[in-house]
Amino acid sequence: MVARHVSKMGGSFEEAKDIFQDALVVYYEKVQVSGLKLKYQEKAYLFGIAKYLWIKRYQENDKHVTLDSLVLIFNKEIDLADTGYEEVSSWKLMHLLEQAGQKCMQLLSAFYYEKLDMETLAGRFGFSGARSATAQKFKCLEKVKETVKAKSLKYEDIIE
Amino acid sequence: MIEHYLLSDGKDGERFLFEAKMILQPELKQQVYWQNKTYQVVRDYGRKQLKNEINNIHETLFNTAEHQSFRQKVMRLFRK
Repeated sequence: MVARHVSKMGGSFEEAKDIFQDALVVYYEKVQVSGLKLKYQEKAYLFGIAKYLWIKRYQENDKHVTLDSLVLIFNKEIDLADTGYEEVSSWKLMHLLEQAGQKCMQLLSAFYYEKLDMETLAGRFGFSGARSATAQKFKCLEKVKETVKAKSLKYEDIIE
Repeated sequence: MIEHYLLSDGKDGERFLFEAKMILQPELKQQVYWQNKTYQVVRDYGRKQLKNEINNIHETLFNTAEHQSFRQKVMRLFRK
């Protein structure tokens, strides 16, 4: 459905792929964050998002629209994520964290991104229970925060 | 707590109080800044993982023999 639409609008296979994959991510995050109650079929939402993404991309003269600006538009409330995402350093930073703190990043993302509860988290990561998962999550957050801080300070002279 | 402030969207009194505290304590404001940045990094990481998973599915769909008819159906749409 998405592919057909993009093709009809003159887009390529690659573009359709991008649009569809981004739509999946936006949809996932929306459902995850707001617990969006579905009144229609999933594919109707996906198609709606994809159509929107396509228009957006088209309007901005093929300039690639970041997922962030989209999620922002989809969120009515203020998104906390809107500051500094475009900084080049954040990708460097992530690369570093992927190398150094894989385990912690997986744990944190399972909690904050996938929104798993502590019981499930404990099961997945092999902790004895929710309590020790909570403790570990806290440790990881502190550790990653320190890394973020240390590495960012090299790039930024002034902190707002 | 910082996490509560950053991750809940309520506009309650607690929130207001916290914002007032941030004005009074610059170091608290900095902590909030770093914590928020950390959440962003975690979210970007999660997003990247998800995109990887999606892309793996894409690869399976478009590059294995058993899904060939699907692939052909899609590719036909782009043949001009």
